[in-house]
Amino acid sequence: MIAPAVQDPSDRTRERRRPDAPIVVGVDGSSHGQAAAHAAISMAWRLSAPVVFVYVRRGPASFLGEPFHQRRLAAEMLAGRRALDDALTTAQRVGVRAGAEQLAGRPARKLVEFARLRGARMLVMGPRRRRFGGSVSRRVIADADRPVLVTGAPTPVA
Amino acid sequence: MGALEEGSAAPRSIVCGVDGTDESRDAALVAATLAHALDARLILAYVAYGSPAGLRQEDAIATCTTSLVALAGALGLDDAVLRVAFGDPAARLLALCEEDQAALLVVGSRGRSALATALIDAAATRDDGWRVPVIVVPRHSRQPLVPATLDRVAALPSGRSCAASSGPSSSRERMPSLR
Repeated sequence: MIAPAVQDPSDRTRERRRPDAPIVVGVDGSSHGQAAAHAAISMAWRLSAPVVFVYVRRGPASFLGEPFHQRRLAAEMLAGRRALDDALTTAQRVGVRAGAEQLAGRPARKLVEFARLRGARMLVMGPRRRRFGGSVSRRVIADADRPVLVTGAPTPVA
Repeated sequence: MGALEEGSAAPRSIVCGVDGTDESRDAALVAATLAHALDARLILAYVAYGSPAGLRQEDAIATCTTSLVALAGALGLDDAVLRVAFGDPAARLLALCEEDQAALLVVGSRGRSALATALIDAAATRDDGWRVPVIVVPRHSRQPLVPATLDRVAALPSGRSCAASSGPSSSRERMPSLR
C-alpha cells in the first residue's frame, strides 16, 4: 500500500499533531457499548494508540427529591463504574494504554465535547438505537469534528 | 464477520465510498492513511444512483472511472483498487464490503448525512451475523486517524503509527483475545 502523497490543504486548519491523541469510546454497560469498547481496543492496539472510555450518565430527575434522588444517582454512578472497570480490564489484558472518565449530561453532546477537548483522533460508538428521539450515534455523527467509528451490532449469544 | 474482531489478524481491505465531493475526498484521505497504517488493501468505490439522462451506461462508467482515477492520482494512491457501481449507495457499498469481507467502510459526511445514517441503521439492524464497522469522516475533520498524516505518512514504516508500549510488532501480528 502506497501512502497518500499529497497533504490535504485543510491540514493547515487542523489541530497540532499529538502522537498520544487517544481514541475516545462511549460505553454504557450494554452489549452495544461493550462491542464499541472491543472495537476501540482493537483499533488502539493496531495503531499503538491510547484509548479513553467515557460513560455519560444523564442523571436522575431532580423532582424525585431526597432520598430517592441520591439513591438513583448512586446507582447510576455504580453502573458507570462497573462499565468502565470492565472496559479497562479488557484493555489492560491486551496491553493497550487506557483511561476512563464518567461524565454527566446529554451523551452525544458530552462525547463530542470530550473528544474535542482531548484532541481525540477518533470517536467510537455502538450502534444502539433508541425507539424515540434518534440514536446517540446519529447525533454524534452530525456534531463531531473528527472521524466517528460506529460498530456493527454485537453478535447475539446463542 | 467484522473486521475489528478480537483475536483477528490485521484487516485485509478497507472500502471507501467516494462521489466526487469534498467530503468524500476527506474520507478517502482518512481511509488511505488507515489502510497504510494497518497494511490493508484500499478499495475506492464510486457509487452513482444511475446513469445521468441522455448518457449511456458505458459513458457513465467511463465518467465515474475518470473521476476515481483523478482522485487516486491526486492522493498518490497507486495501489488502490477502483470500483464503479450503480444503485442505492448504502446498499451497494454494504454489498461491496460483504463481497470483499472488508474490515472497515469509510464515508464522508456533512452534518446529518443521509448516506451515513442509512449505513449506521443497516449496521444496527442486520441480525445475520455479518457486520462491518463504519467510519464517518466529517468535512474538514480536525484530527486525522493517524497523527503522522500531517508529517507525510510515506515517511512512516508500514504498520506503525506512533510510539507506544502496546500494539503489534508487525502489521500481520494477531491481536490477543479480549476475553
